[in-house]
Amino acid sequence: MSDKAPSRVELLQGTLDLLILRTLLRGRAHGHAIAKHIQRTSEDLLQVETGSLYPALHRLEAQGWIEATWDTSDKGKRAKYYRLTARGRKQLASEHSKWKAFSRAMGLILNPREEEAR
Amino acid sequence: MSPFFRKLSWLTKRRGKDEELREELEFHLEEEAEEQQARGLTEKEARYAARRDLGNLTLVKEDTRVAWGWTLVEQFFQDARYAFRTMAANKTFSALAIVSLALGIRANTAIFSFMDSLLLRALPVQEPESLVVLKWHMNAEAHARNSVMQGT
Repeated sequence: MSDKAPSRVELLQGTLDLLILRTLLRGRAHGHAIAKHIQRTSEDLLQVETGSLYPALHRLEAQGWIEATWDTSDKGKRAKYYRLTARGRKQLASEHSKWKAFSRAMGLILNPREEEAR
Repeated sequence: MSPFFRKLSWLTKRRGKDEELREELEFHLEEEAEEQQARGLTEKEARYAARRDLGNLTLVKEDTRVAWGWTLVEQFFQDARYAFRTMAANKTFSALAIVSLALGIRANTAIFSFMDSLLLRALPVQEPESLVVLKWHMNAEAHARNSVMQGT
């Protein structure tokens, strides 16, 4: 798969949690759907490694930010669906604002001329 | 429920959690294989591609179990069980090791308690810190010089 899109970006440490929480804001989803949604929405720039997706999901579940229920998928198979909890929503809001501040700061440093022109 | 109590309750239903994780990853593989098949791979190729995409299944499971907590505790008990099995398998060696350890510890304790009572315990007097050691010595040459100086 990786030969199709050579320009893939490595996920930054700690961003996967934020991406998962944001994805679940749209509604419940199982692991595979979450991975595919992140991949598609980022125009295939971000690929979530399964090796880090499931540990992250279980970690978030342990934190109580998401909760899991077993249900039948649209194809009739049993699947584990994850859903955002109220605490997860709060966590998402705080992580999101942290990320916005961080990316603004990065922007200020990386593109100083744009800021001067303003 | 706090993360600690959630992990505690997960600890009690460990077997079930393991089975759930296996099923969850199995579902992931099936989904991925179906997607690959939709892209035109044969069923066998698709399954293979899905497995390749997932990587080392046992490693993924191990990494996920870490999120349940208790890995350190479990590993400690694993190590302890392993240690006892090894000792039971090689009884003469373990007995020798235990005896030499016992003798070594005993000898050290004996020497230390002797040195302790001799050097470290307070002397049985009031204000032992005010005790001083007086050293008195004189050599013949200095004695002679002193006598000359006194003589002048």
